[in-house]
Amino acid sequence: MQHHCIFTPCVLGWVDKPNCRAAIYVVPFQVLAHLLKNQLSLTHIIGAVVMEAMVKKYQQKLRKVRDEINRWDDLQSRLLSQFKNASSIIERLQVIEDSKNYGSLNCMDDIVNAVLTKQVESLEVILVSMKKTMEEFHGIVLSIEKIHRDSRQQIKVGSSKPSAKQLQLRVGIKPSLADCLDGLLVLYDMHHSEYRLKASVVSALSTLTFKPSASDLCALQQLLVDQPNIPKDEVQSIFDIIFVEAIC
Amino acid sequence: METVDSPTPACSPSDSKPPPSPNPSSIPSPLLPSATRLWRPAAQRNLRNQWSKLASQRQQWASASSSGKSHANSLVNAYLSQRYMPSLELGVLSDMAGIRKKACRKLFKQQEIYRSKVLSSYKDMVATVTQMLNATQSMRCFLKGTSNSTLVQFSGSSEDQNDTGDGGGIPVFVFWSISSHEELAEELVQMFKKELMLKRLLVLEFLFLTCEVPQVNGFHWSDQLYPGEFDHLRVCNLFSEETCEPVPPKLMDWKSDTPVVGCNNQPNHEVLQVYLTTWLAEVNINNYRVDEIFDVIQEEMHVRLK
Repeated sequence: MQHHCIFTPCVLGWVDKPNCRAAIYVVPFQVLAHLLKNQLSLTHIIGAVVMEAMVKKYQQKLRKVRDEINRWDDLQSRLLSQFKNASSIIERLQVIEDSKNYGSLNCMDDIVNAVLTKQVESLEVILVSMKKTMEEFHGIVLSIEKIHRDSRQQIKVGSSKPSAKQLQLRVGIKPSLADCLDGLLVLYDMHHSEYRLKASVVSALSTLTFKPSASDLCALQQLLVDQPNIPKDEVQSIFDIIFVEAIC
Repeated sequence: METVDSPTPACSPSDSKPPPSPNPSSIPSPLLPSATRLWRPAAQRNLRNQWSKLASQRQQWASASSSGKSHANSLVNAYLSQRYMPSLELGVLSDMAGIRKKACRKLFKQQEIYRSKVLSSYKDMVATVTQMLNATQSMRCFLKGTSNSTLVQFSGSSEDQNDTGDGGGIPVFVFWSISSHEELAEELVQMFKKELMLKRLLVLEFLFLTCEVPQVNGFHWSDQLYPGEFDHLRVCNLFSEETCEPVPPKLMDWKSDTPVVGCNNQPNHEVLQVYLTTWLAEVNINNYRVDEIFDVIQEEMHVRLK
């Protein structure tokens, strides 16, 4: 407790942001325990406190990424239902092109053309809205990318450029800075690659319009459902590390 | 007068296109200036009322059509399952005595239920079109009582032959006379009337789906689908007194009348798929145009229709 009193004033000089104040009163005690046990110096103490505040900031960024990923999941279910609607129209195009299949409807001239035109119109509407959904996916990828880029930038140019050792420093159960940065990179990579996969699936769908094949449509839909670039458990384990306090 | 239910005798837009709105300056308004001043708000109130009925009937149609689609879908599924039952690979279940027979009986019962649901959706659609037509025919606003009485009142039915109910063709809100409103409403209702007859043909096909030995003649276009159907269709001008059967289904902008020939063979899977798709496609209803009509009207009347 005595050490706590001695060191707190110089800590205050470093961390003067109001939202970091909680860290000052709670953390130093843990930090001190850690430092005293390892017989480390004052510079280490200050460094650790700064790191701790930075980690907090990065957790905040990752929280934003988590929100974006939740939005991704909503878009995913929207894209899936759009895809299903589009592929069911594509699948029946061949059947509705053939006047043999119109039974008693053939008493109306031009019925084949009318139904076909309407269906193609609906298909076009769905394809346009899929394009819009893809744009929103892209927006998410860009936003995660920006968060990641900004974080790297801050580490590189900040006045307190952390050493490799500081990056790895873990205070209590909190994640290290390196954990946060790596998490950001991995999440960005996953969603970026998945976006590109989805974009090619969607463009493959519009080419299938002209030569529909049920098995191809099925395979494409499975690709969309699976999201092979985003292993769910891996995403979960990244968030488990970053937001460990929320679990404990 | 805001909820007029009987069609007005003075106008019958279903028979012919309403006359183009006369130039207000060439034909003097039959109403006195003071009456015209009072006629306007009454006519505005009435038009708002009728257009909002049209808008809500459009929603009614959409919901009846979509529930009809899903009932027809279930009906077709039950029908096909029953049809393919004899050739179905049942695996371990094939040892159970009479399982196919029982399954068929169940599927047959299901078809009966869905058949009546499809029919009731069709009834809803008939009612919708009737309501729409009603609104279209109730757009005029007539002077009630003698014009020299001190109290000026208006009604939906004409008492004076000289009163055309359109205020002498003057714009009701900003630009449009009563007959222009009627023209637009008529264009709208035409689409739904045509689509109703197309749906009727599909309903007939669905109702006569059967796995039993097909009847010799199949169905006839002149069969009445439910008691009173023809009276309802008569109100909508969809029953031809010459041929004593409903007007044959037609596509928009397509004039030729080919009599409906009932198919008495059991339709295959592809044909049924086409029937369901045709139900869904609503080829006679141009939704862009319908939206456009409502947009124009909302702008003219400065109200938001639901």
